[in-house]
Amino acid sequence: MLKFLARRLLYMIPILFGVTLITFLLFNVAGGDPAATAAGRYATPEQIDAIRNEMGLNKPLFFQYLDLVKQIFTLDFGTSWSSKQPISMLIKNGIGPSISVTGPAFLLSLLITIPLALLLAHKRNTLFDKAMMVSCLAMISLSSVVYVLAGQYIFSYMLGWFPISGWDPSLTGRWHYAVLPILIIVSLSLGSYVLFFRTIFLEEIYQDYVRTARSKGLGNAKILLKHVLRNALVPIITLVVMQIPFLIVGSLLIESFFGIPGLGGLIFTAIQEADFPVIKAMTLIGAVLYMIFQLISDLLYAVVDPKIRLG
Amino acid sequence: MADQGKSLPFVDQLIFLEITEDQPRWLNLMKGNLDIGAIPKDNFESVFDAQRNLKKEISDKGMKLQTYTRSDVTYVSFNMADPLFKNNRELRIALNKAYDDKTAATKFYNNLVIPAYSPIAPDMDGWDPNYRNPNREFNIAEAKEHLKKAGYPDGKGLPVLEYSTTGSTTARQMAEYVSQQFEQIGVKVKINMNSWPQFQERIRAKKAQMFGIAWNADYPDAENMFQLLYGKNVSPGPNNSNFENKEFDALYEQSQKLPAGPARTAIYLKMRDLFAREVPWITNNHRLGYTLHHGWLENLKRNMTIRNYYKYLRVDEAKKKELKAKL
Repeated sequence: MLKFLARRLLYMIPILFGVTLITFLLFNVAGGDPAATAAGRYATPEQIDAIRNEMGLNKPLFFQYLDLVKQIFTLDFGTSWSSKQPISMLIKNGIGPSISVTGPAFLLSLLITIPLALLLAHKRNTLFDKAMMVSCLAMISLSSVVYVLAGQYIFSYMLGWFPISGWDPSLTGRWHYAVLPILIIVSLSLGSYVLFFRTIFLEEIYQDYVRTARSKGLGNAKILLKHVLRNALVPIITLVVMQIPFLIVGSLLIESFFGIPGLGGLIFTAIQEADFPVIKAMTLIGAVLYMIFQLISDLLYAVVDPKIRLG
Repeated sequence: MADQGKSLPFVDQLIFLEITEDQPRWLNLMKGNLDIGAIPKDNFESVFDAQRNLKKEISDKGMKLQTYTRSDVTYVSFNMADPLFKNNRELRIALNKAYDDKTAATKFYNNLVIPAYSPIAPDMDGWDPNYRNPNREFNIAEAKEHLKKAGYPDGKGLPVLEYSTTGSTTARQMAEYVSQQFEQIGVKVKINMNSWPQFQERIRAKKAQMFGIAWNADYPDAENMFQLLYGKNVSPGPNNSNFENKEFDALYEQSQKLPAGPARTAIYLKMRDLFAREVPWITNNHRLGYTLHHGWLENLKRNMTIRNYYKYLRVDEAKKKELKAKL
């Protein structure tokens, strides 16, 4: 296991090099003059040059690249061009609201969809299974904007059950605003998750070990929960662990409609305003998180499936 | 007048909420969570009747509408530093005449605009509601004639023109509309989408061949509009069309030495006529501002250039309680 871990960590070095190099080339070389963009519309050449100096853009490209690598290790990504605030602080402030919404929504989705998919796999080809399949397909077919617009209109405006939008930064107060966004994210993921998990469970249900367990007289509940679920854990872990980086960076649509000051909104605003330092920081963070969680998911495979040997 | 002589301000604090999406902004206003708000484009039909008055169901809620002139002009600018436009007035006239501003007003502004024939915005010195620029009147047949005179009959021989705009959906739709308009006379347009800073950078660097933009006056004087055409202000200054005309510049400098009055207004009119002759822009419209507010908000008088109206705002709490119960 330790050997595997060491090897995977070593593999991450060239991947990280590739990611940073591509990011650097995109933003510092191919993306035009960042100093001119940052200086604004009526800046003089002297002002642009002063900004170029301040941003370290007059240094040779190699040293500029080293600055970028340093940013990842020190987590100091400089200052946002539009808000003039430290990017690390913006990210730190945005993670909480994003995870407060995406985290519970994701957990709730799993708690609903895994048992439901298991039940559908068990009741396969019955009317209930077919009706659920059609419903899931219908749910997937609807645009996510429809869920947001309808949810906000019906539950907040018409019924008044939830606030229309807004956010309370306090840990206790935020839930009042987070409930509806959480429920909408859950609804958005129901269809695809149920279909995905049902397919996984169905693949397992037809395996020989299930037939053997049945012939030994084991009950359905035991077969499904102890054997099928356990054997289906590898693809489930892949989905769950690889979703975590996306949970951290938040949901752009939900944050934008519900006024949640999370990372999704930060990225959206940065793209709109061509705030390159923020986009660059989020690109790098996203890539690093993806690599880390890929490694975690590989390690977990060995935990849940003894047939997988790491080494 | 009930508040005359009382000390200002009437409210303890003003809270500005940044709600980026139309629906939550609109629903918050309709629910009474906001005292005042703009009307999103897609909600116009639910607010206004055919005569552009408030619908009964809205006024029954005690809501009030305030409209005001925004002292602005929206336009498509030609880059006059580009030899193609600089040396071909007939081409500029042809494109002006090919652009149907009335359909644009319906498509993009819910008809809450005044057609623009010059940079002078409504209520400024020199503004004449009856003025028409003959080179701006939409007429496809005449546009084709001018294009022929420009040396490009039916657009033949004219390179594909580039229209720069920003990345928003509305900006893209407007750009496509411009392209469709010019297509009617055989002129092809390539749309160049940019983020707002990139768009500004292209204009500043004189790289945008044509672009759609608006100017809202910093103060209610036509000088603030004409400075956009003054030769010494070319990009990276505010004269983004890079229009340079000695006669215009002399008039502009002359107007700056005069106080407001008939003599200065007469110069403004000469500048307006010179603009009309040279057409460095396709003037589109002057937008009207419209704000919906609840009946409990008193003393609101919005103005786009003088923004000190907040200190006069007053909330009638008793009325608020009564009206909010109806929402």
